[in-house]
Amino acid sequence: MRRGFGLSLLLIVAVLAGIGAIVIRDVLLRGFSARTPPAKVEVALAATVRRHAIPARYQHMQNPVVSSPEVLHAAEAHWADHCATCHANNGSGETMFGRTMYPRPPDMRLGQTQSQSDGELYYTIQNGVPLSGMPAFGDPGDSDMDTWRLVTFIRHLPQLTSAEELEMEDLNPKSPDEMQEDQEEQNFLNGTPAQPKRNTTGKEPIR
Amino acid sequence: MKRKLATLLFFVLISAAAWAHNGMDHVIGTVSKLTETTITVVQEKDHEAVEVVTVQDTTYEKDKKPAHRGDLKVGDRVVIHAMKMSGHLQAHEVQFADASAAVAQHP
Repeated sequence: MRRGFGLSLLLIVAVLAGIGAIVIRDVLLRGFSARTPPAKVEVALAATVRRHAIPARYQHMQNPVVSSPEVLHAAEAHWADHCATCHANNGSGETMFGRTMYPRPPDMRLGQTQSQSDGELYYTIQNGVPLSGMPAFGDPGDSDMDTWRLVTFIRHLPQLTSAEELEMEDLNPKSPDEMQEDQEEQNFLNGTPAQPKRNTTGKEPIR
Repeated sequence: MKRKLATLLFFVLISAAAWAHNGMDHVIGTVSKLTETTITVVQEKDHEAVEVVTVQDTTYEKDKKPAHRGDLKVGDRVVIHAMKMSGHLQAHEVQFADASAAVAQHP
């Protein structure tokens, strides 16, 4: 009995030492930086741990929101305002923050995300992902309708049209400088003579 | 307390600065060359030619409406939001207008 316990303990210590060695080797090889994406072993391990950490009841939880143009429109606006900074409007994760986050946000149009159940997606939005850039959003509990609408939108991501994506760009948060820049770009496209740039940064004007 | 507020303000300002462009380079000018996978733009600001790579995810917009890659022509005015990806610029969004439309609006 005591021998069995000792062997189990030894096995656990060996596994933990192995994982530690992989992480240390990884850090030594690529430096302590978020610039390079995590190694495949780390990604697989983290994905497995995360999947098993989600309570079982969420695996079979159905989305109570029925998809409709109105629901999708509301969810698009929510996504564009709160999620697109890291995940991009189209869910690809190809944004300034997404590209160097550690770990990277997944391309949510693909199987890694789409294969998850509605409940698992809901749980991830509501609780975030520890040791990543994903915070916990929404009201605690299982009935935050904004989050369920986002789940509906995530299901829609693989079919997102160019028109929807362009509409969302108008809903992305923008600073005053960025809004002015947008206006200048439209002026250029329309052939309107360039106006002197309002200087709010103390730097030299761009044009 | 003041130090905490100053720290918070610092991070808010840093975040706002980082948000500008959302990490995208803006290429503004006139299309000088088109291939299946690239758009070459002579930039308005310095008349230098810049090549931007297009991918399947690149979106196209003409007169604020969705458009297609095939609608883009040499000579069109263009604003491309692109990201630096392994040594080249990759187009995220291409907005364009006919050069003739601009002339018609402002003869």
